[in-house]
Amino acid sequence: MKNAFLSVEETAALIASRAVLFISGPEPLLRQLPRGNWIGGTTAYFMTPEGGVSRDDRLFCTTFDDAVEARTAMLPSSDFSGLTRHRFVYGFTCIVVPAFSPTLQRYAIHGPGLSGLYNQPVFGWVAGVHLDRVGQDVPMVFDGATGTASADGLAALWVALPETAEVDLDIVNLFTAGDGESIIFPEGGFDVTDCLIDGVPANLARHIAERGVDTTLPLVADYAGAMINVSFQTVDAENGRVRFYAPVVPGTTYRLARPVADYGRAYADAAMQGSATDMLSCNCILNYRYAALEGRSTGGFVGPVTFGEFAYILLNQTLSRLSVHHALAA
Amino acid sequence: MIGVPCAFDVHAGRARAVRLDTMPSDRTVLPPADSQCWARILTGELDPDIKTLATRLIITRLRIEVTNNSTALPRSVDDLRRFFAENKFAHRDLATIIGA
Repeated sequence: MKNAFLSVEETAALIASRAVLFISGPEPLLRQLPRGNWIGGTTAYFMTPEGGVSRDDRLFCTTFDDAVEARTAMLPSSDFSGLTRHRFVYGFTCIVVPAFSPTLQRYAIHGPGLSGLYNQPVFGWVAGVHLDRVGQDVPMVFDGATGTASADGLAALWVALPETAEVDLDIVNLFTAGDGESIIFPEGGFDVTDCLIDGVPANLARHIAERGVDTTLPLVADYAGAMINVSFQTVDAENGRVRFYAPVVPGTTYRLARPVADYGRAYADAAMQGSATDMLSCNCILNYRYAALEGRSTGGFVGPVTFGEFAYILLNQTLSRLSVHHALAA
Repeated sequence: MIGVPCAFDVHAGRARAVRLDTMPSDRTVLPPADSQCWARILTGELDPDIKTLATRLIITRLRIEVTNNSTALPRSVDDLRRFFAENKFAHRDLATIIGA
């Protein structure tokens, strides 16, 4: 696996060499690329070895040079079953979905229940736009094999690997549940009104307004040892509604996250557990923004900065990472 | 031009026989469906130190199903047993569950 931050011409040359690629960058650049074994999605932000950066003249390209076979598709939101049905016997899947799209909402809710989803790594991210252009530009995803672009589809890349390869998919979440109240929702979804706070019925939006809760911090739930966030999108105390960037799950116990003192240091510590330079990762635009990651390194983790991350399921304010190792390598 | 995303289409690249799962063979024995370990893990009574993200996520998903509908327990046990039967990469976690 190789990562590179390339011009359109350099990326086109890679595609022409029949490389298998996962590409992120500005829409005008993605539209100039030739057909080939690639999928892609829009973003204006990247984590590079030199730190976070916003560029409109570069594409972040990950070449899966371990691949011995690959296929791509644009899956419709009406049927995600192809995601697992069309994967190779041994390998992994990359996906990219446009932010704010019905496809994203459907995958976030129904994807976790796909039969066999957890049998093979599914890595990916949510395509976004420049923060100054939200509501004006539309996030897009691309299937390079057909030249198809979509504002409401799931672009999938299935990669087959050789006998010596092992795939590692995991997350780096700097947030842990704080010591505050427990929050349980009777109904799931992106939009919520009522909940139980420490067992007492309450309206979450009004509770947040009354207590002055810091909504740059996500709610965190413990998934058998994995800390899974849902991040606040809007809080409308007047109408008693909260909207999240990922759906809450009914019956799950959430708590507001403990603040992170030093993001850069925390990522560096996480990277120390293994070499981040030969991984593909994606990090959340909310981390980029709230932690002021522009110009700051994240421990060597590189990749697009995105409007959501996938490690099987939709994640928020989390770094998702994928690496390929060879058991027989010297 | 924006393509229509509704038509499902798969585009094959180069084709060769492949193999990914290089987890070493092990002798972990899958407990039968009526073993108490499954109910204990899915009701949260048992909460061992699971290492693999995939295992963590499927256990949590099945726990939620069981919490919301106790009659879902037998089906959830089948789903979890099938996950371990099909995925050697998760056998370290299976060993942890058996030993807990």
